[in-house]
Amino acid sequence: MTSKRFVLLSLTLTALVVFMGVGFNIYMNEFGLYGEVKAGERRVWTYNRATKYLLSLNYIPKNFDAILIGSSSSATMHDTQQIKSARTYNLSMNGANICEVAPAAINALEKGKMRFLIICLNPYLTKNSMMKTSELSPQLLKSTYGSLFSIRFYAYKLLYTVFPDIDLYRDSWWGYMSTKRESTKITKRDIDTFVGSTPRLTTPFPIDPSAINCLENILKTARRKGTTILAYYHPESKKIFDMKKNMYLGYQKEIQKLFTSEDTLLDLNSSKYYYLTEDISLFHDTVHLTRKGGNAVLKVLDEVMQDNRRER
Amino acid sequence: MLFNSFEYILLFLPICVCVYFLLTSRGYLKPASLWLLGCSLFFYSYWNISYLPLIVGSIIINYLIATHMVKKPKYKRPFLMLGLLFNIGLLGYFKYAGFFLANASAVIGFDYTFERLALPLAISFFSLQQIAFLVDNYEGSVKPGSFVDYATFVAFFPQLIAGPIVHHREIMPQFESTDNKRLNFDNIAKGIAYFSVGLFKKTVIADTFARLADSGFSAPNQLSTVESLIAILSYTFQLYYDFGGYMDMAIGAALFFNISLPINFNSPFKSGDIIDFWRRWHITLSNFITTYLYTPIVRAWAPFTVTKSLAAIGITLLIAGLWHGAAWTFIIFGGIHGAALILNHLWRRTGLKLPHVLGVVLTFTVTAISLCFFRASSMADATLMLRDLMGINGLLPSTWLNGQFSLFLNIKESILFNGMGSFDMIVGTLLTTCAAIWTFALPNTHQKFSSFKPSLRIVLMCTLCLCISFLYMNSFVEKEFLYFDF
Repeated sequence: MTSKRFVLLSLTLTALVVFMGVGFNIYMNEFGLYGEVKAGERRVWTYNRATKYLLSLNYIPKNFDAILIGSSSSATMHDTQQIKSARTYNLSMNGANICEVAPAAINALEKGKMRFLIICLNPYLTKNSMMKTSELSPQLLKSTYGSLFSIRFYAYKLLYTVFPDIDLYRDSWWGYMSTKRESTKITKRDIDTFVGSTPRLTTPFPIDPSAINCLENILKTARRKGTTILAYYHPESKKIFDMKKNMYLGYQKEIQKLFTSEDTLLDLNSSKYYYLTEDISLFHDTVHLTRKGGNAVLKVLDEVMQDNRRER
Repeated sequence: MLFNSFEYILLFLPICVCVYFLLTSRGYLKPASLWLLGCSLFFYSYWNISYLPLIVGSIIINYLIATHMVKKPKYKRPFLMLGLLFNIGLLGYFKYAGFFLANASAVIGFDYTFERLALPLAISFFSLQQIAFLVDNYEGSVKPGSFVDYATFVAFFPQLIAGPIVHHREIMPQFESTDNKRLNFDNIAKGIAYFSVGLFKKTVIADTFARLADSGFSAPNQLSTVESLIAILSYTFQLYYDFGGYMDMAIGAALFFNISLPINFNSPFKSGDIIDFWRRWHITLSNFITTYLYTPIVRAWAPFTVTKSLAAIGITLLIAGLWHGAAWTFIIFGGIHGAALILNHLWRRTGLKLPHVLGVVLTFTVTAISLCFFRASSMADATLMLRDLMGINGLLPSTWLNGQFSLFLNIKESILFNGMGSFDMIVGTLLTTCAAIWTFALPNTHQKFSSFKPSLRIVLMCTLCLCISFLYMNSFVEKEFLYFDF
């Protein structure tokens, strides 16, 4: 082989393989980035944050008219299809603070015609503002053309297709995140032990000013786009809430300042909702809800959304 | 601009090569040289344009001094001193002033705050290269040619940022040769082979090890023996493949312009002793410190004795350590190597011989321990890592390794919460094995391509290396070369 032939062949072959790889990824369109992709045709297979971010660029804005944002307390809420007032995508992310959720939420609000923005408020969401993973950056979109990310994505897709029993995201078509919290795990005794062993603090939950900025940016975007804002304080088991009440009061006072009279802010820990917080079967642990608990909360949200629609 | 970036590989390098040979093929040799110089300065200023005047000023001043040394041979020595003072002063001001003042203030107790300056890229390399040029010029072994050629010799982008530290007499004849101004497919083919292997070493191997090393070195005092061993070994392999990969890419890119850069990295971990190690690791730096540091010290201490020679080795290696960075960790790195070299010389005098395998293991161990200081962010962290290695926190993995390899421990937890890490760590573990085999058992790039003959097998190898590297480059992790910091 001559050197000239070597050079031409190496470059041509490399270009060919690269174009084939990029072409394959565009053709598969796993994140609904191009063209019309119907609701329920794209889901999370792995990298839940990155996938939801990518879905927020085209798929969610085109197919949904409401988003639910928050951390794991709402990410684990099963089946937002139960909300009849709007097609609601659960854009909440496990372990995320509001600054990590913000890019995807703003994408969905900016690019789509969202009627509702539902925010699950809990102190974890505004406790800090750092990005815990490097995934949510402009590099992410580029990586969908072919990267370790896309290889891992296909590997898990294949794994879960062959072994559906271990598929952790099998109900993720509407953004639900985990199958780990199907049923009650916590008992009254667990709650009593937790309450007994946790020191009583009176200082409010810490709030990171940068996290508040991120939340404000989301709210501003929603208001600019005419999206109705519905926020709710995530329900906690009543005994636990009572124990932390003083911490909550300060936290809620700060958070309330961000909302206007046009917005709806529900306190699911108030006496009106004791039927939720006193029912131990609705809680999987000290924070997260069971499927039953999630459904109960979704029902409340749906009712408020229906009222809101009637008013308008 | 990084060698392992798409803008370099897909835009800068092809445009630079094509325009260069377009100009030379039409007989525009001067414009071609200017183009190459312009590209090199653009490449340099792509990081931070504010340091462009620094390198340009350094080139101009050194060139003026060198031409005056030729024009006024009577004042050669003062001009040389001026040149040395300028280059060492520049290096000292930007790289070492903060370190020395901080230490002096700690010792003497005066209160002085020196605003730490950002280290200008490649200053250690272009300063050494020009010091060598001035000394060679003083000794009459080289003469400065045209300014453009001289500036291109200093700023030639394949070697500008992290070496090799080239000599004027090695490179200038190549720049001046008219044969080298013609497009040479033999060199381009060889360059592609070098570049692809280097890119693979950097992006796939070194950067994968970097994740393990970064994770381990970020948690000193919390690791078990096994964990700290993995962290230290990971960094050792990271540096090896990072530097080796960079050198391959530099050689490959230079070959596109028909320039042969000297071999700078020749399987150092195959060395049977530490003397041999320094003949294989950063060869051009070793040559520089031998010629321009060790030899003058020995000469100054004439008459020659073994004790003086060993002391000179120790001092030279301490300075070499300091050259890598203004911190005590680098001085200790140099000190360990200096001590090892002295012991090695004394051992050789006994006439005893170690079995080669034992020598390799011993050399590798000393190097890995010294690199622990090289990598750690402080002396305290380096000491903690070594304490961890001694088993202060137990022998077996606890938190850190569980985090890294959680896929093996709990697949569901890992998939749900671990995000990026686990999959890459499996790749990383496999790579460690492959890298160890590659490092110790297989021929290196120079041995493989010394008698380069284009073949379909190498075409496929290059394609595979490039495509896998692109895949990694397009992923989340992108890292600079380690030697860019020095």
